[in-house]
Amino acid sequence: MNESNDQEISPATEPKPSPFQVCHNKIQAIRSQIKKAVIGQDNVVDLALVSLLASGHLLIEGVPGLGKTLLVKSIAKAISGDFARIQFTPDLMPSDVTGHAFFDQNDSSFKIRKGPAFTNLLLADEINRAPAKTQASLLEVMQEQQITIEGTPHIIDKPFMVLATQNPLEQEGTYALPEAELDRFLLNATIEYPDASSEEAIVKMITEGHVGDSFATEQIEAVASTKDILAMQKVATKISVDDSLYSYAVRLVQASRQWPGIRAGAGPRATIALIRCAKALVLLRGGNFVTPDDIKQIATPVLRHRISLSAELEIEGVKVTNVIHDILEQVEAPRG
Amino acid sequence: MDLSKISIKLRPRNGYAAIDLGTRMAQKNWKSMFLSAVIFTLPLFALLIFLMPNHPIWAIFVVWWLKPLWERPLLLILSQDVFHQRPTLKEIILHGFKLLFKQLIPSITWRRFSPTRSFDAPVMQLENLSGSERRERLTALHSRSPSSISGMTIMMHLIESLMAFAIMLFILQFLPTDDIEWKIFLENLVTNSGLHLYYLLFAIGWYLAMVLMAPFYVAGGFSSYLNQRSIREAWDLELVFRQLAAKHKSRSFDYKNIIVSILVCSFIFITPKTYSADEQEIDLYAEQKSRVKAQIENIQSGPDYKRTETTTELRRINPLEPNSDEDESEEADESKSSSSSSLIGKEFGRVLSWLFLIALIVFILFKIPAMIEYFQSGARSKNEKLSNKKKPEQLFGLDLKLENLPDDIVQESKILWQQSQHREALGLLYRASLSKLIHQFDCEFEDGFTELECLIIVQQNQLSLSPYFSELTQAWRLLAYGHKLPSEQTFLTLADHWSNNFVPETSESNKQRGVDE
Repeated sequence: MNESNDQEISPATEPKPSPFQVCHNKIQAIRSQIKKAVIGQDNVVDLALVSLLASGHLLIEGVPGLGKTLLVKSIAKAISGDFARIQFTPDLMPSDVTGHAFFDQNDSSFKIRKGPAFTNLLLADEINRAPAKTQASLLEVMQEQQITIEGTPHIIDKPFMVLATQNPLEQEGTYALPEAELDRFLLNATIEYPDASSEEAIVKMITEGHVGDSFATEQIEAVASTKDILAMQKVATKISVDDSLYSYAVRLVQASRQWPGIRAGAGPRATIALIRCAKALVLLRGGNFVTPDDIKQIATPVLRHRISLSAELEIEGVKVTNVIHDILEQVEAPRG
Repeated sequence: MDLSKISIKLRPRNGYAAIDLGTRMAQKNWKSMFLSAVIFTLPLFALLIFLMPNHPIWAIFVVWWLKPLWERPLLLILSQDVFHQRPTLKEIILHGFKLLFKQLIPSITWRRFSPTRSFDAPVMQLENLSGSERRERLTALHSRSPSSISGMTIMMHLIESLMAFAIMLFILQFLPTDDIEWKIFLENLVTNSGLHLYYLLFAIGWYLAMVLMAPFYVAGGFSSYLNQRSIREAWDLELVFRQLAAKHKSRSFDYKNIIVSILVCSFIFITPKTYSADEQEIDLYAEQKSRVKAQIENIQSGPDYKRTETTTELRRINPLEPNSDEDESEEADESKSSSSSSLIGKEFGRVLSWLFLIALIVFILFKIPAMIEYFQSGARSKNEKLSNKKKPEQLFGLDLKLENLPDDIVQESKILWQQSQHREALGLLYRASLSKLIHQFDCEFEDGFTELECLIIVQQNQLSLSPYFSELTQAWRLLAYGHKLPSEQTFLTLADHWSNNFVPETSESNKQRGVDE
């Protein structure tokens, strides 16, 4: 991720480090731990951390084998959190995700068997391979952070973040995520192939002293706790945002609703997500106030999955990111 | 060539119907005609562009001027196709080159702007007439020629011009240049402030328009010529008679029929007559005749013989002419009105053509000094023009007009600061900086640019004031979004240094220095 605007402005120096500075240091420590394992995917790592700090969920698009599972495992280990992975398949049932009640013959009572969703970090791999009913089973836990089994709501441990993946190439036998569910994801990141030098480093790291082709996360140290993450999430909400930036975020999202070539624009959740993510991004960078650059930078991952293009533009091969880029260029940026 | 085998249906038509026929002929032979036009013009055009790379308009002008010459092979193709002959490409090239030099000088000088050029061409090229013979022949053909021929010439001029622009704009769409706005483009084209790329594209567009339209123009003239011959000389009937003659000539002499005929005749004359039988035959014959006549009348009253055709044309009516003589003088009137309207149309076309030429020459002469100046001064004028293209008066919701800024910006901002209007004071410095950067330093900002993106543009332009602007931007961002007030000392330093960087006297030298660096 571009760090163009964090070098000039630093928070006011104080004798005691400010909470922002403390958080920044901790996040940087987490970041550096994750980057030990996830090489050449700085952008996705940053977006995952932004999503974590903003208490949101991340939808990752990318072909298999680019380290998505490794990313989630690494984050979980760095923050001392739990991790679970569900491989979505066409025959996956909602109870396979959330859990279910069963009759225990030993004590003649119903017991709850909690599903993999009871965790801190949930990797929903190839989420679009499961039918809508199973995909919808994630809706409650994503939005309410609770799971209802047999009519009883169960609060899950916090922090909770879903990292869902989609394969953009294989569309056969998939169920496209409904817009309501897409809107639940705070950010949409695309994971690209690593560049040559990064790939070389990955190969060297995995083949030297390891058996098999998967990267072991032993060398990742737990540098924070889940409590720290919750504290940082609170600090992120205290990042200052000027009123003009709220207007700017609204203008951007409203422009997406009126823009020619967009069939369905983003909803108010997108505006909220813009500000939340911008705050988290600022915290990640060590600032203490949001600037228009932060909003612009986070706008593409926030809006990408919330915008549907018209058939004409899709036929012409125009990408959503191009349209968002046009919106960002043409919507008036604030001047304080 | 077998004149009896004609491939088109000749009959007297009105002028526009004749042009329609020509359009169909051009469509049929379009491929070979277009190819021929390209073969005869492209080498010349390419050579001229090669020789005069900075003057593409001259190159295309030469090709345009020589139109009567390279249209001749097209007429050759059409004239042969009318009689079901398809010349090969080699034949077209060989004959075409011979035709090029036929009556060369008159064709590209005083006959060049004849509004009936395509109509007159067959007389010279196909009838091989020249001098007084040609003149008399044309006078005869023009005597009742409709105004549609001149009209077609004018229309083709217009279509060709529009098509030239259309093709040029079409090509421009595919050029990976910066955004080309209409106003800028036309301004550059008219004021000739450089950009011979546009002229080159215009030349290419004009060339393509010419070779695309030439088959239709030549065919329109040729079909009008054929139509005129059908009207004046009944050439269509002549060809029918030729066909009949050819048909009879081709039949072999049938001796058997002749002998049988003689035998039958002699039998009729030798056989004695029986009068009672004759009377009966006469009655029968009369009855048959009346029945046949009724059948004929019945058929003639049918729809096949009652076809009505409605044509609309403009005619000059002489109000002094008495109505009673209308029938008698109808033909004479028609002749007079037709010839007079054609004469008016022809004269009108001629005047328009000359006006077009004069305007073109005046335009080119007027532009020559500017062209020379441009080519001598390189792309400087181009850059100056381009630099003026985007001078937004409002950006980022701020009024950036220079005239709306206070006369003494520094003093005004200091007053505001002293009045504790800190945000307004720093905002004024920042707004004034943006305004100056846009209007004096040609920085191109978009509405969606943030402060940092503006700073990047300034740094990319290598302006010497970029360190100062960077400091100002940081202070402004801290105040605007971080709500952190800069110290008074910082503000005063920024205000005092503002003049050094942005006042008009120093801006040019600043800019120049930045470029030099």
